[in-house]
Amino acid sequence: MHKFLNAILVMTVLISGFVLYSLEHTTRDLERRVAKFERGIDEEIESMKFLNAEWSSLTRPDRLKRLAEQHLGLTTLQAKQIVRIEEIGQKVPAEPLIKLEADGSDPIGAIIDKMQ
Amino acid sequence: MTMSEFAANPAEAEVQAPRKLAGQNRIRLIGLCFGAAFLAIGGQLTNLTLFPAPDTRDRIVHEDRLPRPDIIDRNGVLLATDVAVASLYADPSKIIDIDEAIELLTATVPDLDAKELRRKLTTSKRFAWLKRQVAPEERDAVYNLGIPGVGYVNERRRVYPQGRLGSHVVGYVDLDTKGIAGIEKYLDDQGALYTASLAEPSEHKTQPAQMSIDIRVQAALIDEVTKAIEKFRAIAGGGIVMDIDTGEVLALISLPDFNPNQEKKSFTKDQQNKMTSGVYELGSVIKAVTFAMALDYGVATLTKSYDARFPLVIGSARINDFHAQRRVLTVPEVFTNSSNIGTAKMALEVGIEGHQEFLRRVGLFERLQTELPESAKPLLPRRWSKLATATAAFGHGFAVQPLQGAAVVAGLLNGGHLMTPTFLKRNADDAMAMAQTVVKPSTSETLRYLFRLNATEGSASKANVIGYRVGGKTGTAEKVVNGRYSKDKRLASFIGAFPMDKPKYLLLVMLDEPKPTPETYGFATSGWNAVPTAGKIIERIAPMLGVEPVFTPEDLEKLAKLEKTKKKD
Repeated sequence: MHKFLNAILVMTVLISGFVLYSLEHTTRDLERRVAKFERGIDEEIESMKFLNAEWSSLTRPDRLKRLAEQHLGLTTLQAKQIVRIEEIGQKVPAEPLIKLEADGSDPIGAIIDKMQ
Repeated sequence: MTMSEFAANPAEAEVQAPRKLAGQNRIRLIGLCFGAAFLAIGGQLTNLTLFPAPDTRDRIVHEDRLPRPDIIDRNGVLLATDVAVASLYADPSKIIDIDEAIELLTATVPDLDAKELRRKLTTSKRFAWLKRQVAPEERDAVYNLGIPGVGYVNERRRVYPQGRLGSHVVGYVDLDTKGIAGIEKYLDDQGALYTASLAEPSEHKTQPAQMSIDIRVQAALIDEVTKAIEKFRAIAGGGIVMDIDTGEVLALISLPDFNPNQEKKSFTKDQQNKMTSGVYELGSVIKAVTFAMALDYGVATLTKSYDARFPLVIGSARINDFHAQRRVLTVPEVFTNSSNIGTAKMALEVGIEGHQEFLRRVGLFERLQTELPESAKPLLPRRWSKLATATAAFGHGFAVQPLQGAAVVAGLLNGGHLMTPTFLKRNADDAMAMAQTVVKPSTSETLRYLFRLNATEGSASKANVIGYRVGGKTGTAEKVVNGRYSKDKRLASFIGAFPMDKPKYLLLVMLDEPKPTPETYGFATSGWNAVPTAGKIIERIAPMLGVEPVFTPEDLEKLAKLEKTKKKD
């Protein structure tokens, strides 16, 4: 009886030892992976900060103005160039614009010409 | 003695029985103790597994400083942020061959000075910075040299992506990321607690501090004032755009400015923020305050007239008009002709006491303190005599921060609610709650009318961008040079608001010592330089701020005429 009990206990110790060891092993592995991901997140956050700063610096209003003037020929918006949406609505032709476009005319250009 | 001997004697065995029992009890007691201990451990184990306790241990904080929050403008554009950089250091005691180390280092990092390096490396100290904040390529190059005792630490560096656009309002930090100017200093002065309150406990995420500045408006203001300074060969300039309903400063510039990203921050006096840390005699712009006072006290009405035929003589002083009309002027005419005589008479009618009381009420006697640490006290006449009242009425003899002047006019135009301007985002309700009512709504209404009138037919007509209903007041003050008013050194300014039917935005433009040009027919007064500049600024910023243009039939006529003259050219 005692021998049998002892044998079972020894077996339990061995099995639980093995389970414990393998659990610890997987835990360590997971921890390593967590640390790796956290480092990765930190790096990503750093590069996000850097890219945000770069974006903000590249979209500086004075830089955009210079580029718009140089490459697009844009100038300051005049007050009279601003119109209400209802005013445009009155000048839209009755036929659908897509159809007119398919016919080869330039309906939106025509609206702008009419407004001027 | 053995057990068998005891057993042989039944009488003794009887005595033995309780002793045996005592031994068993002891074993039971020990067993119980062990059982309890195991149960406690097991219980705690289950407890911790099921309800893990939060980690409250003190941790080593890797950053030696509090993280600084990012600074963003009112639309979320990044104005200041931290990026990671490396700093090179050396431990001189670990360097084996100093000569070789110096040779290698100066070859890899060109801007290291050999002599300076030798001095640093031959000390008995165990630590010396070689170079702070180096680029990643440089860091790698030095690391690859593999000199023992030379290493790098990762540091954070404050960068200002918008460069000089934010210079004075955003401010800057020193090498140890301590705020020393502008809103950066404000963040520090609020204490570590405030800075940290913006930071989330997760460390890498900080809540940004949002300013009231609109960087697009700021850029337009800088651009136009820079052009004006060049055109009129002025020595300096400045501008402010404020939301008059909330007291938020949308843009504040002072030229010449600086780039907060530059390494050496040894700025000259010219580069300081003139809008808050300098005081100026704003000249006729202050007449707006005098008019508000006279109207609010009921001393003047729009139908009243003032005799401006002769100079006003007080003691030995004579007050004259710049654009002398030599006739009796009505109150609106006094405003549009910017008559010193009329305005002085108005102030004298109110009286010295009343004048002082009103100036105190609108806060012109005290230093205006906003979030910006740089602020100057108003410069007041030492003795408040009759003459002082007369001259102060048209802005001579007392000087204030331009921002303070703007704040007062904003308060007079928005219905009489004076509020301290702010550089942080604020909503209209909060602003209203802290506002002080200084004049009656009707006074504010009349003042709006005068401002608009001055832009349609008065001295500020060159700022009247058709469609945006601009109103404004001009000011040309002679500068005090060696204690006397100079005839050819002037400070030209314009203060205005738009759209005038319900004023929302206030604009102040200032040019220091503009010179006459052929285009201005030899004039160097505000109407010829500061006012057209203001017009150009309004034309650019009104669409950004969502002000809808409205045209009256007369406006359309004027526009058609303008187009014709343009075509002729």
